[in-house]
Amino acid sequence: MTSKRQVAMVIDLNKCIGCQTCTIACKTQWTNREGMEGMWWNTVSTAPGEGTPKGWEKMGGGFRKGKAQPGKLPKQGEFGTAWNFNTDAALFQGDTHNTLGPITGDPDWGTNWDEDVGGGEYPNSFQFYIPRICNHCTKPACMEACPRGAIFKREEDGIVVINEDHCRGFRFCQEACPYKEIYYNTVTGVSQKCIMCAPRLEEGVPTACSRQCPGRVRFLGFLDDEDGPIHKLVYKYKVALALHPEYETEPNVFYIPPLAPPSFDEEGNPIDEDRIPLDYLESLFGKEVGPAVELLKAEKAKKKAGGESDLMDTLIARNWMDMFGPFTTNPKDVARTLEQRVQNRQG
Amino acid sequence: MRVQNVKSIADYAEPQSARWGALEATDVEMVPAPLGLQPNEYVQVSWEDRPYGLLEQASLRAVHDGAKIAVQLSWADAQPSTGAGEGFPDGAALAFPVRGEPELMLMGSPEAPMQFVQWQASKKEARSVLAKGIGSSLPGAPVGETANASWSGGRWTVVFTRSLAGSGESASLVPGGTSQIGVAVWNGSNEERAGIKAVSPDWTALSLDP
Amino acid sequence: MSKGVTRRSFLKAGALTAASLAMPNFLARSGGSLQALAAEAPPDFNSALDVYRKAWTWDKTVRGTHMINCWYQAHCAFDVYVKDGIVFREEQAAEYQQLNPDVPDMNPRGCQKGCSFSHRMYEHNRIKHPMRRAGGRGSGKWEQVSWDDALNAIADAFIDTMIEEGTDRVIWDLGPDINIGAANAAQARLAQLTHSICLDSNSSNGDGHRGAFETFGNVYIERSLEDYFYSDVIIIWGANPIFTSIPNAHFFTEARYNGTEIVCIAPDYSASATKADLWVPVKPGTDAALALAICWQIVEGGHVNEAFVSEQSDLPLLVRTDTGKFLTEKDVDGGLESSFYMAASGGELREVDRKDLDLDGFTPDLEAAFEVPLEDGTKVQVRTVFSLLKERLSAYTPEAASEMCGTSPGLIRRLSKMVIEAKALSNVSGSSMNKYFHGNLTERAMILIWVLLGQMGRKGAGYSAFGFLANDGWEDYVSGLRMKDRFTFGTEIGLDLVWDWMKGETSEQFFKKLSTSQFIDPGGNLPVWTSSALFWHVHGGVAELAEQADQWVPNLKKPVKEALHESLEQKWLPLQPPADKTPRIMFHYCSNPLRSVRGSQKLLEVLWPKLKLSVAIDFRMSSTALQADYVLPAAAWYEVTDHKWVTPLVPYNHVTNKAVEPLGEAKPDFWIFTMLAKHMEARAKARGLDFVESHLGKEIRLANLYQDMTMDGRFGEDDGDAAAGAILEQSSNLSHVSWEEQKETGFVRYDGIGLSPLSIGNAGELKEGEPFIPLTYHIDDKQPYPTQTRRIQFYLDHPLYLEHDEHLPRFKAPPSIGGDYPLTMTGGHTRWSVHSVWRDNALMQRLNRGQPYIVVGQKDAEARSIADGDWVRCYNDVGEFFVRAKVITGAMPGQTIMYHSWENYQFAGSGDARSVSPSPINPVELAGDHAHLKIGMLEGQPGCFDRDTRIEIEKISPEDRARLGKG
Repeated sequence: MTSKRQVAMVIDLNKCIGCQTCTIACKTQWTNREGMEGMWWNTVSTAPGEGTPKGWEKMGGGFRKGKAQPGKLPKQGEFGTAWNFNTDAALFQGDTHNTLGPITGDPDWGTNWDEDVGGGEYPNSFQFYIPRICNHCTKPACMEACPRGAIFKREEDGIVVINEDHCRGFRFCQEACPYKEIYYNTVTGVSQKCIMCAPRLEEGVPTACSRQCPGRVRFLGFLDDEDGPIHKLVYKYKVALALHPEYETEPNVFYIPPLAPPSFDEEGNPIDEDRIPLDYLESLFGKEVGPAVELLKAEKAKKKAGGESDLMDTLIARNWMDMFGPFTTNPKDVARTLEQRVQNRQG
Repeated sequence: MRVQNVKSIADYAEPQSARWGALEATDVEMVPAPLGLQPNEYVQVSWEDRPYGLLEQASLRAVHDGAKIAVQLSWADAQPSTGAGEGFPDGAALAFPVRGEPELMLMGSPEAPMQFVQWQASKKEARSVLAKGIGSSLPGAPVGETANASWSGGRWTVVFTRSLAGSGESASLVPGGTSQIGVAVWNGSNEERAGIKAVSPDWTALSLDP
Repeated sequence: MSKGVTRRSFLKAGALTAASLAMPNFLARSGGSLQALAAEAPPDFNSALDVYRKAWTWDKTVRGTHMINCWYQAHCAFDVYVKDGIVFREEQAAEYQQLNPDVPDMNPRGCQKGCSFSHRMYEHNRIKHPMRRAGGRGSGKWEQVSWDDALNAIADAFIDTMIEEGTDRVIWDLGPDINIGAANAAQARLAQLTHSICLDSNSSNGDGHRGAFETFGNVYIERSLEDYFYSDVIIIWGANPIFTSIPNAHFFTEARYNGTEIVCIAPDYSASATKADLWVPVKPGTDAALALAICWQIVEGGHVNEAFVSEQSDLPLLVRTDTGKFLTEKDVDGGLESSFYMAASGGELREVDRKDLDLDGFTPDLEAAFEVPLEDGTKVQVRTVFSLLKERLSAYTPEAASEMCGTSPGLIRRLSKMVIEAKALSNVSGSSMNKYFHGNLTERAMILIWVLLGQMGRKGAGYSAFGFLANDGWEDYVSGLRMKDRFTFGTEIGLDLVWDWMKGETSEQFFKKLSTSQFIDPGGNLPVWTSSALFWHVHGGVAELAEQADQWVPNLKKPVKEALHESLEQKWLPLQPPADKTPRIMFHYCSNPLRSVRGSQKLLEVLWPKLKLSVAIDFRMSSTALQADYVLPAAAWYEVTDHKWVTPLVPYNHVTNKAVEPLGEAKPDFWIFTMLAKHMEARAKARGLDFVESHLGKEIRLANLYQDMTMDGRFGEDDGDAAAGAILEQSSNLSHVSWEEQKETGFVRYDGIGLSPLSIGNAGELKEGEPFIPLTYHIDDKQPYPTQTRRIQFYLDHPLYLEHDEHLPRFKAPPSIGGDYPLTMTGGHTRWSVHSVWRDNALMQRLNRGQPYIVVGQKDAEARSIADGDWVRCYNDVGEFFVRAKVITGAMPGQTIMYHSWENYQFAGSGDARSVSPSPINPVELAGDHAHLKIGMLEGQPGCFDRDTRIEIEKISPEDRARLGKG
């Protein structure tokens, strides 16, 4: 059964500043419970880089020409271990030789280990930040792979959910998801992942990662809402592109590709060559990324010349609330208890 | 396989108990659960080039005391896996038909369900599972199931117990009667889980002493 | 096999069914063959989310914010979600109104640190009980004590020290997080009532914006964020707002979409550079050469806004070529030394109006050079500042400047063209430049660009320096709500005010004078302040590290220590207590000098042994608290009601409300200081002690201390909320909304810059629906600047500046501080903490590398066989520390970056990031005894410099790493 409507997100990489407020918003909202310490349902990685889990783009999964592809099972260490620190010993118990650090010793990987490492060679270095969550795909490889049928796609909004009561922790979903967006909880023995803040959306509140993003990076709404920014950016202007469309899962998270300052020639003079190599961008977003970047540049030039640009104005989103489609409720105004929320819906 | 009537199965709780050694073992032939019967394409493609279910034989012994049955299942496993942390646990299950003639390989059907008592090295408790086909297993009716496992000398030995009587949709065993038993074994260190396992392709007949 | 099927045929049959089984679940579920195999649909899937739905329920929400100095990005209104008496999360309130339809609104202000303070406040390093050291200092061994015991012991030591050695031996070491609210008012009131000394930490923070101070006589110049939307060129220079101004950053990325060109000038391809339309790499510490090259392009191309510079700056003023001093009325006819001249074309002198910038149609000759007869009968050749400047600028052709700063001539020309053609040019201010030894010269050169082009005082156009916007009722509260009395006719200050008004002085100048007086003798009801940089250098022994400074800094006229001595001797800069008196008690409040002071290893060696008592008041264990004798647990920011200063960038007063009870025995700061006064009064009474005499010769009424502290019981220890309200009620710029309403909304837009010396320099109006534009009182209303010449001043005829050839902006090569080593250790504030408050937070660490690291460029790493993650020793002549290397592609060859604020206790082995930075004082910054180069609140003090630190790094062996211990 396909969903009647699909909630989608557009993430603007030109506005993303890599601050990880989204990551933290998600952490304090959903993954602050037992066994979830090392989970980051939302990540922001510096591209180019290994990302999270480490080297996920080389781990397989998804489909090719419609056929499911085997995938590697990502390990916790590749997502980054949730180090605990010897704070008590170092600061309150007089263990002065051992200064404060991870109890498990020198780390060699973390979820944001590659932060600001970048690619290229100075002064033609390049980098940008790329936030990722579950793509709530139209063809979810995870759902296909679950032998238990424990993953479902909600009819009303296309959110892909793991039924944790039904999950047995087999983790075929972890392997099959080409984006490696599913985590395994070693305490509860089930797989867990981004729920697109379904409980918030149900109350008309934007996802935590969207609403709490100080960079105002994330547009949220229904894909078929022709008046909303998502439809405009994805279909009308075609500047919002899926990450790795070749995985064939049809993600519902889209990205505005990054611009960058000009690169330099041997003498250090700026030249009209893109700092971020086009073939690198194409390896992420497919061949449509070139025209998308050109359109962004052209529309910015229009603005600079004093002209109008609906595309630029949409991306600016002077009125922040315009970014979230129908999800405009302030969370503090939501009923505090579940009972009240149920009553509100019934009454 | 004969299921002797003993005074109390409590005497057989320990997997390594000498009492078990006094009983004759029935060897059960094991095969990989067929790839074609895996519930979806992903599981098939990800295991098509990967060996699994390599266990060729498991060994069964059973006793009952009129109220409960104890089955000792034993198989070779050079590298035990408790499934701690991210590992997959070793596991085993004993299947019993609920009604009709369930196809063991197909995990039964809605008309002919089957019931398991399942053990996993990662869990203290055994559990009862009801299956009406591949990928359909749900918590089964409680039958007082327990499992007590021990690994030594390159072998797992697990003593399963359950009540003879079933409740709701579960298999009933009757002293003096006959039934069937099937076996599945998961090798955790080979990441075996779900349908990726070694199974006994055939039911083994059970004959309970009165 | 059952049913007579052979195994072989069964397996075959299995293979046959594979085709139908291959159908993906999402199709199969809608009627594929798997459906037939699956017994039944799994039960009520949507209830699967109930566990999450339940996780998102709460008992109440409370409006709050974080009482921290995150400076340019301050502050953000939050809703704090409370369940079962615990703050389980917080989320931005995001209710800021759009200023007008042209500009983006400010929502949803917040960052990853603010969004996880709930996690921080419950972490292991939270201090929950009063503690007394149970081993040697720094042993990390503690015993819990009662509040009574702790406060009595501290009160006794306080009283003993006042009696035995003087009130100025008790030091309030105040860090950047003081809030100018009730918490800090209680501390300041106690300091004022006891005449103990408050440290102004801005100088040792290295945030002085000395160049702006030298040029404007004032550092407090900042716009509101919305104003950036009216700029068509924004230059990020000496700042990294993508790291340090997280809630502000969207104004830049969105302005870029709006057609604005964003320029980022930085050695490294920083996070901010990635958001620019033009990145201009420049060698660390050489930005002055680049700025002056732009200035030369402006002058050479005839782009100087002559009307603007003639009216607003000292460029038309005349300078004597014999002495290098301004030509004064005293020279010409024996009149005032503070009266200067311009020239009409033809060489006619015209006196500069000190009360009004308006030239009334007069056009000065910017290039004048002629002979002037003096009163003594001699004649002297005079020239305009502009002509001297022009001559100097000619040395900064793009080619010549490129040699100095490494930026290519082509890039300098492209940047200059962009700047010159800008319709509205602005900058994003940070505090990097003042952490370079010659940062003052750099900032003066940068400001010159804006002034030459007249890109100031208009929407989207202007130079930003130091952001600060505060209520102006705080000092009133500290003075016992008696400030107004002090301005009345007949009082000392009232008379002073009238006299200034008669002289035509602005209120800005008056309040600046008041601010200066607080460093000497505030003459009444305000606390005594001293410069922290001077304090650490002299009393802390940091100056000893700079004894080799003449080897590091070319062309020093005299050893730094000698220059420091001279300044103190001549009383150019006041120091409290004076060099020959020893500090005995230190209260570390919102402060962490053992982490923050450059060369802080000296403090433990020189200062700590002299201290009878070190008391840390904090909610978390800092490097300094670890070395204290008493540690007092302070309430965290969701456990107290108070408010906090901001900057004009976000001109909203922010309020935090008590959401939960303080953890353990923690108490609000207001309670702690008031109770200390109560205990001091009781202990004094018990000794039969009525008063002691302060170092300023005033009576300290010990037996009435609590009574005075509480203003006769009006503000007792539990009345912090009322005190916070009283402060706002006394404020001219925040009393338009009641305290009750401010608590409810959590934020309220200031309706004026007010009269606080910390804000008045912004000199502009906060108008409804309009962005805030600083300096319009000067630029539109023609009020004089608080400088020697009453104009924006590029020429400094102070002897120290003349001696060091810094009377005009120029480039000086960066010194090699720490010795002749190949790598420059630059720095910057981190994305991951505000000061050290979140540095050891597990969440931030997990999103980082869990340990301190130094950033190294690829080539420098390769040359030293250093791989990413390797442990390295970083060293120079002064010290060493050990960290891991983070190898990135964006660092300039020769540049390393040690991001800010790791706690000392996070470094393995001895040494920390401050151990290699001796931070010698720049001698010109010791100037005083001058019309505007003099000390004031947060300005006019010597800075601290760590960005010119030179180091070498080397890989260490695994065995050596193991010897360092954990961490």
